[in-house]
Amino acid sequence: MKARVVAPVFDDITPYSYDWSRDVLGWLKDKGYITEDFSNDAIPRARVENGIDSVDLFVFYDHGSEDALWGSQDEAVIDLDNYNLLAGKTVYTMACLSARSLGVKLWQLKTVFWGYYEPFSFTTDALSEFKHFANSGIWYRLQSATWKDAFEASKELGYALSSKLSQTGKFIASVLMRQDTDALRCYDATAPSTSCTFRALALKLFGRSGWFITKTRTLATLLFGIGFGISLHDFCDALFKAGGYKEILSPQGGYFGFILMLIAFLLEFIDFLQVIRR
Amino acid sequence: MKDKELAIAAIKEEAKQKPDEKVVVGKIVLSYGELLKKAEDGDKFVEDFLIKPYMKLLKESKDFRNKVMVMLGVKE
Repeated sequence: MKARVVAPVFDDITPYSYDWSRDVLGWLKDKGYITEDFSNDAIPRARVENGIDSVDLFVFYDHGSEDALWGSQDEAVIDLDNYNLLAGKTVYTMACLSARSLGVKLWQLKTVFWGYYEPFSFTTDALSEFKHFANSGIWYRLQSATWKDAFEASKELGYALSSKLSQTGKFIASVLMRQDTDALRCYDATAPSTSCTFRALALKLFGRSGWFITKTRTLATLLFGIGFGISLHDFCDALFKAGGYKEILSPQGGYFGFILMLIAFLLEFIDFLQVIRR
Repeated sequence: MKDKELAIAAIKEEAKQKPDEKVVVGKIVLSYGELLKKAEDGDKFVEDFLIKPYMKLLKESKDFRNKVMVMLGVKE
């Protein structure tokens, strides 16, 4: 197994995340991973993209935004233009906000994504606790936990650390630890949540593939169904007027037309499902 | 004491005790001293990232609430 750890340093905050990533790098080496360490400076996008095909686990410790992971102040190393490079891999990050859009897009490509839905926050009076929490998911996973179990264990740890911090008078740290815990997402253990009722229904019916069903496709399917129904009704009505139920139940050339339309629709739909499940 | 007043008082008290510690939220770094000033000025960012979650935790955790009250030396 090959892991690429990317931990750029380019402002006052990134030395903290760089420091935290050192533990993760050590654990990966201990577990026999072939590791690549891109860190301790601004990291160019091209360097991260180069040879990424051979990587199984992509670890990123630095700033993030809803749709990008940043290698320097002005260059994203992963964004919506190159995220497909991580299809089918595992992404573990403490980057802020990245679970909102980038994580969902990666999950659609069968990538396991670990990240945060809100800004990751911490205080300097509780650095060891925040490091413990940020690194916990990969630690549990390396101890052979499933991602689902690792996610639940990290959530439990976060709430326990929040409680511990309040007991030692670090109330601000306690509140932020609670926030970070609430913001943690693992898109493998759970599917990305949605506030759209129809999207939720699509996810329930088709699983991960439900994210690929667009409004246009839904409208097109609906219009086809209504049009098909109206046409069939009017056709049968014309037959009824011509010869009653006997005429409706007798073989008609028009029925073949309807059957062919229905077969074409089903073939196209099955093809669509196969494409999005790839 | 309302939860918002309680949260602001507690943040100010802790910030006074540790003015050199820092809080990091995404790309923003504030010393507790700066945090204290912003909390006093009614800063929107501090309200969103700290005061509202503080109020939420005060509401959800009786233990947290009791400890904050002890720090402030107040009784409900």
